[in-house]
Amino acid sequence: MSTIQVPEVLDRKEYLKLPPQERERYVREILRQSVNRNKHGVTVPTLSKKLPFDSRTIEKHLSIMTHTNEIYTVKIGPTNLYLPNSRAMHPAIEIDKELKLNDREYSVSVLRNRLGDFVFIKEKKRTEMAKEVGGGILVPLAHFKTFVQYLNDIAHDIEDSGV
Amino acid sequence: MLDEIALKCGKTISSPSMFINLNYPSEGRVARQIVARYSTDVKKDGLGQIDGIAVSIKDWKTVSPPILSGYLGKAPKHKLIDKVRLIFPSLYLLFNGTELDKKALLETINASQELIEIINKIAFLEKRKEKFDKKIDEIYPLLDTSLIRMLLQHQIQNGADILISPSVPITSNRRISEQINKASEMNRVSRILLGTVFSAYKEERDLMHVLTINPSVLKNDYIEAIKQTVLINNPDHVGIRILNLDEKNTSQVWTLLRLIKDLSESIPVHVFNVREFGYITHVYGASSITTPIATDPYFRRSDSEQAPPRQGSYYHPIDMTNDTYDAFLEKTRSKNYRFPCHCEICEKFLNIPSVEKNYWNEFRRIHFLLVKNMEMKELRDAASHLRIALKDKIARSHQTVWLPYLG
Repeated sequence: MSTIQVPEVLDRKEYLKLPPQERERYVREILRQSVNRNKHGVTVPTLSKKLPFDSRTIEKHLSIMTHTNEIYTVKIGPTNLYLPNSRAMHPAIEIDKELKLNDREYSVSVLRNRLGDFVFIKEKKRTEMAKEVGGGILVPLAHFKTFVQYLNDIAHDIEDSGV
Repeated sequence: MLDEIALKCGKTISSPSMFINLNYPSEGRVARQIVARYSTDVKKDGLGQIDGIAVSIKDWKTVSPPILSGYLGKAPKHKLIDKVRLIFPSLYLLFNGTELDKKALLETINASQELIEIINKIAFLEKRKEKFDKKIDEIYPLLDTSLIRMLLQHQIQNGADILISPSVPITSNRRISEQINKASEMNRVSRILLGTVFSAYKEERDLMHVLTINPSVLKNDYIEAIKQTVLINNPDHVGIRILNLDEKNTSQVWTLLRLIKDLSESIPVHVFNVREFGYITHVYGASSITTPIATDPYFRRSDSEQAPPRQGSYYHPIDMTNDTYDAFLEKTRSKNYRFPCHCEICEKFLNIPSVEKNYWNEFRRIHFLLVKNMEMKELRDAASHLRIALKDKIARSHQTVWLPYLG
């Protein structure tokens, strides 16, 4: 794989001085920015060469980000390639609107990744100092209307039940 | 036409702009009093021309109540809480401050025992050179990511609209490389922390790198490195805090003005801790200046909050001088001690004897702020021909030392 782009980082000695919770947030954010900067994907070994984090730490955070659908993986031989889900691949459809509900923000983007075209619904939680991605779902673009209809039906059911 | 600088928080700075520096609780109270009492008349807008307030982190706890409190009756037009807020990390005090300043700062930032002990140990050294070297050798390693994080968090939690990267002052030709490297490194760390640990504020707060500098170090060999120190990692603003400006040293003043001009071509520049010289920096591209209230920016009185024994100086709006009480009496004797000013409080009292001596210090501060507000109105009205307007004003004053810089 060719060289990858990573953001500017703190030295290992510097970032270890952060309180544990913030250290986690710091590593996650650096990895998030790193994956987003490399649209052709990154692997754990390439990241650990470029960043002052050990490969187990990188793997742990990438795994969490895969679960929240911020990134996705493609297996190439024995290696996992991590690719960004956060970049809209359909420039024609720019969705700037965010929905804020209490301490959560929801954003929607339409993206094309190697697995197809999707509508990506992302939830961000605002903590005191940071915005953390709480989760995200990918809905196949071709079935998005069906998905919205399904949600509408549920909303009516909830309304009818008087909850 | 004023240049509007839109901040990420939604507020704006209209250049040329002025901020006031609040150092003592009494100054916070005076500012609040002006906002509440002198903003009602449409023609006279209290502090309407003052865009922001700047407070040191060590003073925030005592100075902030008058800024943050609500109003029982109708809220005034220009509330202090709505002004652009800067909270200075003020780390330069560890190197250039009084012992009381250092103590207050260390307490506020909840400094490590190690840092406190080193600073106390250095305080007992006698030789200046040894003291200075120890500060660089022993304090620098303790100004680390953890401390920078804490100083940024303090600013965020207290509602600063522009976050200021904590950094060290650049003051010595002998050890300038170490000072430049440390300042650059701290600025770099601040930018990274804002983009990661404080990611919720990345899009909501601007970031400013501040150069705290003694103009004597501005020499050709270092000028580019100094510029890079404040431009590292693309801040949104650059600040310059000048320590010990010698107005008679024309080459120093020219170099400083050239630095401001160069920087302002690519980024908004804010000049801190200046008085009349600040107006000159506007002509060279500074977007805002910050001025202390009715005190000399390069003179520090004792840290006691109690009123000093003497009557403080009065800002003469025509001469642009700070006249001591006695000198001011002498100056106005031939005119029945009448105030040479049309600000609201001077028009109310008319002459010096009408102001009770125990009210004098509060009076002169209110007068100072009202006059600065009027001066800013004057400058803003003349923004399109600022150089000529300033030249005219300064030529009529006793600040003619600045005329050569206005061409």
